[in-house]
Amino acid sequence: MAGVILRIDAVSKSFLKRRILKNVSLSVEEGEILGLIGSSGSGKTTLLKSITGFYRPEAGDVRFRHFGLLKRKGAEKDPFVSVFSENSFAKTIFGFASQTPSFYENLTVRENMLYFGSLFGLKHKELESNTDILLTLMGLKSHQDNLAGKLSGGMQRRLDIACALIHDPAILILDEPTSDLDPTLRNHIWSLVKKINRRGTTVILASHHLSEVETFCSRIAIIKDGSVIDVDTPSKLKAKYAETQEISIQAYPGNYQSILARLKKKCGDIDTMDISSEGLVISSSDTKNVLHEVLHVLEKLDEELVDINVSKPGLDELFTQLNREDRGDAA
Amino acid sequence: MRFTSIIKKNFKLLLRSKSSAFILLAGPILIILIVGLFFNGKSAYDLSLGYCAPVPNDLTRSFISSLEKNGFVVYDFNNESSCTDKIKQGVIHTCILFPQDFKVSNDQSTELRFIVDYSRVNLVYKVIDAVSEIIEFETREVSYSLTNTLISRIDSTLSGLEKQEELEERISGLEVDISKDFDSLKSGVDSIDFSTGSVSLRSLRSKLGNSQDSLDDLIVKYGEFSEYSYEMLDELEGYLDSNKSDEIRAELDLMSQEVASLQNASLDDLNASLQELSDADERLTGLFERLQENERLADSVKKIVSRTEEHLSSFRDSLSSLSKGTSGMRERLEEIDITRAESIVSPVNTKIEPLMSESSNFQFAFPFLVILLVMFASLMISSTLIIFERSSRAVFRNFMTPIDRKMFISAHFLTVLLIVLLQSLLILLISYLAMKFALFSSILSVVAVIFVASVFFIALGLMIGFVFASQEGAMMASLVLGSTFLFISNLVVPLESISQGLAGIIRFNPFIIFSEFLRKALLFNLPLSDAVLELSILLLIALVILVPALLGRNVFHDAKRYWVKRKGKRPENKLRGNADKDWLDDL
Repeated sequence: MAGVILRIDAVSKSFLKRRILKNVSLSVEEGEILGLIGSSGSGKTTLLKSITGFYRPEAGDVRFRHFGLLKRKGAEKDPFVSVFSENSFAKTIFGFASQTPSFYENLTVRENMLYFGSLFGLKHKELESNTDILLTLMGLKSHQDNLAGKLSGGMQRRLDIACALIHDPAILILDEPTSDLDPTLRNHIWSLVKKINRRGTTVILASHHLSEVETFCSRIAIIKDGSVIDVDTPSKLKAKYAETQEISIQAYPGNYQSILARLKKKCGDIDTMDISSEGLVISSSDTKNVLHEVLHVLEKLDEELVDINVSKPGLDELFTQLNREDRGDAA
Repeated sequence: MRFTSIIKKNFKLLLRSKSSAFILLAGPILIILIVGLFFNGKSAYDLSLGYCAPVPNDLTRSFISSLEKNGFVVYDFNNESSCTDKIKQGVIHTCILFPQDFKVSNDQSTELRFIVDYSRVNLVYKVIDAVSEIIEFETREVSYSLTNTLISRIDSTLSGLEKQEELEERISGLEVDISKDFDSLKSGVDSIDFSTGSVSLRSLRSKLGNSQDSLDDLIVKYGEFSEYSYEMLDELEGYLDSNKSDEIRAELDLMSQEVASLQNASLDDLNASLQELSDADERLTGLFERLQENERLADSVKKIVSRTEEHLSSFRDSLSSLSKGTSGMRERLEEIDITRAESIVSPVNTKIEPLMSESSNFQFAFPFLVILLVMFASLMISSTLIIFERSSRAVFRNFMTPIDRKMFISAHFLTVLLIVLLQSLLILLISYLAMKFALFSSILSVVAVIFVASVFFIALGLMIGFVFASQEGAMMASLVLGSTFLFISNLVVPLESISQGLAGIIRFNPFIIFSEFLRKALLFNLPLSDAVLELSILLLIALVILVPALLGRNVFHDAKRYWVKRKGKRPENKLRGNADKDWLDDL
């Protein structure tokens, strides 16, 4: 890592008396892919938009390293400047692709890129060059003359990222880049993110697809109720939070309610039990005992065991677990 | 580069969106074509009329045919109710009810009844005017015919009076002759002298009597003389020779004899004269008596002449009065200067002199249409562009570019200004080529008015775009604002027909101001110097409207912020679409 590129210092932001961000502090290393995870409404998007200066927080500051590019008196003394005081310059540092692709649907792919590039003051030659490179990188070259609104969801997402990258920003911020996309497209987007990152662009992203975040991000920040509760590498986070195992059971005829009721009476070591579309999911730290009881109950209820799987939780499960804890706390 | 990129992008977006492209390109041409079709031609109205004539006659038919000749579609109805029903249904615009006995007479005034639908306020007075004009024309024709008859009667009376006057002159001449004759007669009668004067036979008789007496005295004296002579002779006989005495005696005897015979003769003559005198006296007496009789007759004649003279004088007076009356009557009739039936029926002929050569209504309505187009295009495109931008998916990406808000607003403003000016140019070109408008004589004024109007309405449109969050709301607001300006303008209701107080306020309607300037510029070559002050004020107002937008935040946004701060909640605004897009206001 080449050092910190962005510092978020005790940022708080409220909307209509509702506090969305509570004293959030975070540092982003240059060249890393930082993933933000958290439940809906936890403040991920607000944090990302505060980073870009789109939202001005009531408290705290977001400072970025200007690499000596800021031609301002005294700038050389402080390598970090505030996003809010240097908003115009900050916009040249950041590239942002939001949850919803942001471009003109009635302009072609190329026109969109040229337009947004021109707004960054790129010279014509540089603009054309950047456009061509990004079109190729994003796999949109053959679609460059198509209207953006006519593109498929995946291509629109790629175009959005391309538009965010047209001025070659130091930091690329992606808000839910793979939401609503099929797995193939998601993989494509992630591979692009990796490619972009490899070019030296720092990436900050928020996603619900935690397994992907786990796979692709260098570090993950867990946000809960507007606060960053932890920031670390995925493996460290898993080690820190994954104390339970998950048992997934599929039975026939599959009267899971009865199974659940029986298990609740018999087992005291079960942390959580849920009926999902795939069957019964039990989370417990005493896996051996629980498995025994499960088999016993199934026999008693004339249920035929179709499938059983015991696994350590991934980031998804970890995230769910954190949310459950949260709900339990609340209750 | 950045500025032109935004403008280029705006044009591309507007042209690629079907609805906005329609507004941009087809809109103005279509509006002008449609309105041109509406207003083209010199007749502004195509009216349908119904009539109900219980007993049609020539007069009725002449009215109806006159209406038909003037382009009205005329329907015949059997009764009033069916005619009025058709008005209610909107099939006809007015119903003319002819009276039972529709004719011109002294007994009654002929009344035509019109039934009109006052609920059609925009048309009713035009219908009344149009129909009344034709009916009045036809009425004038009838009146003209009646007046013609009256005039010809007066003419014949005048010629009759002239003959009468000639006759009076002749009678007057006769009367003068008669008067003269009477005067001669009178003087003749007066000159007859019935007096006997000095003719008196009595003195003659007395003189004759005196002569007789003298003669008798002479005879006596002669006898005495003779006796004396004889005595003397006798006495002288002694003294005279006897012969001599005898001779003297003889002489005396002879003389006595001659005197005796003379005496006798004189006495006879005297007696004859006396006799004649006596006869003459008798005749003279008779003559006197007749003269006296004649004198009495002459007196009677005089009295008759005098009476006749009085009658003649009275006749003369009457004749004079008659003559005066006749001549007065003639003079009065001749004093009537206007003897042409046309002049009596229409003493004052109105002739509408247009300020310029007569042309189609479209040419007169054209300035209003241009400003109408500028107004709606400016309001709608500018507000639409702002909403379009704000509701666009690219709003966030635009925010993420280092472009100042002022540049965006300025670019939007310039985009709309270019579009509106291009549209106006297109329409002016069409008008120049198709309608031969003398554009170049007042091109500076025309361009200035259109430019300021565009700036003004674009500023208003931008404000609408800032205030309203949804396209529907902005469109509605633009239409309502534009329609309000249009409705309270000269184009719909003449300002002169509005109350003075309200008209004073309405005169500040920018649509009216711009339309009037353009009308004066296009039709009367208004010099730019005459409009500089007003246009500058309007331009200033437009810039004042633009300031909040260009400064970065609009007043409504700040008001909302203030409200939120004070009350701690969002003010209710049903017009705003997405309640969560609070950050959109920042753009």
